[in-house]
Amino acid sequence: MASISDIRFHIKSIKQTRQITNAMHMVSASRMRKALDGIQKNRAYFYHALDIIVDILKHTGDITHNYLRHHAGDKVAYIIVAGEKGLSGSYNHAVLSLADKVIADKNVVEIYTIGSVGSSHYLRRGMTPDRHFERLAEKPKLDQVRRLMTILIEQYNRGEIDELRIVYTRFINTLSREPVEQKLLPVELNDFKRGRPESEADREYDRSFILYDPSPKEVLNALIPQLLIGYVYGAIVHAYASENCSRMAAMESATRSADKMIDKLTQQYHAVRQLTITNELADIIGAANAANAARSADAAYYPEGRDE
Amino acid sequence: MAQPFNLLVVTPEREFFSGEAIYVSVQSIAGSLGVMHGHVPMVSALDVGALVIQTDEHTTRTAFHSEGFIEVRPECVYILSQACEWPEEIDEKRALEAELRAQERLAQQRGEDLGSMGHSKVALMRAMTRRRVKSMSSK
Repeated sequence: MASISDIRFHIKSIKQTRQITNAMHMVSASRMRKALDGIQKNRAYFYHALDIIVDILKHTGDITHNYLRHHAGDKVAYIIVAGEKGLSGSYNHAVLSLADKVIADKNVVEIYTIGSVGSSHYLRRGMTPDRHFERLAEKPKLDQVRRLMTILIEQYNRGEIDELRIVYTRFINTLSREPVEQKLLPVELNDFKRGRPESEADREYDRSFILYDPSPKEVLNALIPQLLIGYVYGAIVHAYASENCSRMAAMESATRSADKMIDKLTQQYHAVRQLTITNELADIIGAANAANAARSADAAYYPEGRDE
Repeated sequence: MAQPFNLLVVTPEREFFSGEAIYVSVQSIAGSLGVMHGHVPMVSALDVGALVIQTDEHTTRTAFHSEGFIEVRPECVYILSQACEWPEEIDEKRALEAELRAQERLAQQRGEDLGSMGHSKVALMRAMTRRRVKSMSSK
């Protein structure tokens, strides 16, 4: 059985760990709230752009556009959004295993990773990401997303890639998240409507008589890259919210099990302490008894006393 | 007396302006574009430029806007831009650095492929417009 000082040391170290997990829980909770706010704001922007594009295509008929046409080749580029740090439950594992699965049967020519966990995952498997964006997963910044997307859209226009896809974690609510794969280029508008609440779709407004300045095609040309930037930014914000939500849950349960462990150890500590006291008492009593017995035995043997 | 209309300016990061205005002007890809009450419904894409919002006869504010689009509807004018900044939010030093960086890149890229050159040109435009908007407000 462990000694008192061992148990005391153990309790102390668990208390320290508990403090850390508890603090991480708080931090993740506040970051998640901030990210949720970001999801709301971005949604307005993104769906507005989507509505306009859908309308241009509906009312102006036969527009053929590079962003909409399927390329003949099979060169695929992937953007993979994972976390910046570990300690977030199954978050990183879930998104990376989906990424591995979808990459396996395609001719992947480029991998762009966002978040250092993703980068190191591919480095470990001997695939160097063509470009990696660290810290972006921690603090989604629009201008960095714009830079990333400009590079990829140019590659698409030059025919270096035929398809652009993204893997990220979609935030559904605080209890559920789902890793998803989405095709970005060539654009398939129906894909983008996933997860959009019916109530937000704007049906009442008829744009058939609207003026496009300078021309529908040029507006479309300018809008599609923006739609994609909006989508990828949104994906990163979603991933950020999911990461923090996942970490929050993980840290909450870690704190709870630390509490349980501290309780158990404290009980054990008391039991051991009590046992030690009992043993000491038993020793003392035993010794006292022995001493008494020795004295009375002496008294019986030397009735006149031993002092001479 | 000009009639007011509803104006909403949104970026993916925040709601930049929401309220009534009597005049708004932006830089569209087809040129400078001004909108007043009763404008014909239209959609256009935005270049980088100055966003001028006149809320009443005496108050006009100028801000920076990045690429985006404008949609004029009968009930509301929507401006959606990737970034909007009031003059006081513009970091002049950063804009100046970005301007110099973009100029340097352009000088190096001369003669190279046009794609990445356009990229630097947009960056240069962005930095210069930011500085212009900033200096307009400080006068």
